[in-house]
Amino acid sequence: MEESLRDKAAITGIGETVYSKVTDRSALSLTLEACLKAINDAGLVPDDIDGLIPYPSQGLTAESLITNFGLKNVRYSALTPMGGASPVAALQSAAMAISSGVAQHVLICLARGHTESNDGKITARLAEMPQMNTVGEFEMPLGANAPAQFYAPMARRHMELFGTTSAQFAEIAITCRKNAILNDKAIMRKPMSLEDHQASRMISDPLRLYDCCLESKGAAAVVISSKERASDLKHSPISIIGAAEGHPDSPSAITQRDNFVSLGLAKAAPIAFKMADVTPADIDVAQIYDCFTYIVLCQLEDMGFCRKGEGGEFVMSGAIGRDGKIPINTHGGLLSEAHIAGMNHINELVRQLRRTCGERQIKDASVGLVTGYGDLGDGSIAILSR
Amino acid sequence: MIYPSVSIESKAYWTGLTNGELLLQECTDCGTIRHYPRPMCDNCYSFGHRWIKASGDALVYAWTECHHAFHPSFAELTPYTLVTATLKEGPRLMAPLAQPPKRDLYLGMKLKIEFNQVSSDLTLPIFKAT
Repeated sequence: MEESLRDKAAITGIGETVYSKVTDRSALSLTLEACLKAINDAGLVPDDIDGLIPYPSQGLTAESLITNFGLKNVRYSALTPMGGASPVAALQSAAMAISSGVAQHVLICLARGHTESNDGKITARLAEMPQMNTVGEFEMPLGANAPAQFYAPMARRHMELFGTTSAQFAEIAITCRKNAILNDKAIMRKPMSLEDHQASRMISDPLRLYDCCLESKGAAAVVISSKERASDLKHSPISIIGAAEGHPDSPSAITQRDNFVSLGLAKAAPIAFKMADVTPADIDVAQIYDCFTYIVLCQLEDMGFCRKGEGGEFVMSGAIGRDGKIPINTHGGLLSEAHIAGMNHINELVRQLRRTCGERQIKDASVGLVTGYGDLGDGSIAILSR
Repeated sequence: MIYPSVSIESKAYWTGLTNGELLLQECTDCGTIRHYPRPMCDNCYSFGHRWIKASGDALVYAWTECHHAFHPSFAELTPYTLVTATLKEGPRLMAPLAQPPKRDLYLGMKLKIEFNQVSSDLTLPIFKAT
């Protein structure tokens, strides 16, 4: 059971569009570009793809991919509707489809394309998601209308219980920014100081503007292949050695959750580590879903990089910097590269393990992990090895 | 104003608020009290329930002070504080803190539920520091 998906599948291709604040291109158009790049990067042609896991947003479907690429051989399609946890959860689903023999090359993609305006629309957009029904009915009428407002109480309780500070949250934003400065693709590349962070306006206390990720446009995709097929392709395969998803108790209402300072990842991480037969000490680089700084801190604790309540001190120790014990978000993350719902985190981890990151390359990176976080606490994790 | 899309399972809850009562579901088989309203008891899987009136006593569990309005109907209310509090009956409730906002909240602080009629057909719970 614990070894079920170890080394059965590998990431063989990655692809991304330009990332920007606005775009005049549709989500589908961006998706097709990213997918084509990922397929080419793998050394495949579109018709080699026989499995599809699109991110269900802005009308993107398996059918639209089949139509546009003229795919003839798709025999597996699935969705992993877990918000920002979806792309990494899709790695697990792809590995399952491949290890069972149903598919050989699975394409996973995600896009954020042109929208007329975001003003006031987030509440309506969230309320339409079935997994947001409870929050939509009972909390949105009270004035809890967006993720910052849903998650801020968790951050506040962590601060009250453990003495965590806003300056400790800032360290995460500053670390991501330092990495983004070395990444041409990143949208935010101006240096950020603690003073800049503390002077940024309050959004939903304790979360300031610089604790919140960007809103971005663009697309990213990856191709997952069976280990046998992967060895014949263009790049050395980056093997999936551990993968899991986890759902917090009371997944549809944070307010009713027994453990307010732990996320679904706390359930998934031990499974993935056991499957991969590694411990946090073996991880060379981690791309951690960073919709908000606090969510990174909580995930570091939930994965066991430090004990619960010690995340603040841990990030201040220098552990998450490029020379630290566990360098995080080497591309700048959602906080500074772009918000491509974590598909950009998977792309970056593959680049780190291929050792093609140039100036921001983590020396000798061999084993890395990527996490996803979404909706109201769903978590996903994949551990990859070169 | 954001109006809730009331379901057949939650209708009694919203009607209760209109009448100045916070109603919670109590399982008629095992006595577990649950919130938010839903069809089945997650302790014993019974579909039987009755509605009980909450005492209105609650203790602060977490909070956030909202400075940015993500929806236009709350723009004029900022900053407003949303409190998550543990009801005496067990479940938690999120509700805004009555104005003027109290700044020195702490975990375990005592609150009392009151009712805020925001329109002719919508009443929301609010918390008041005791």
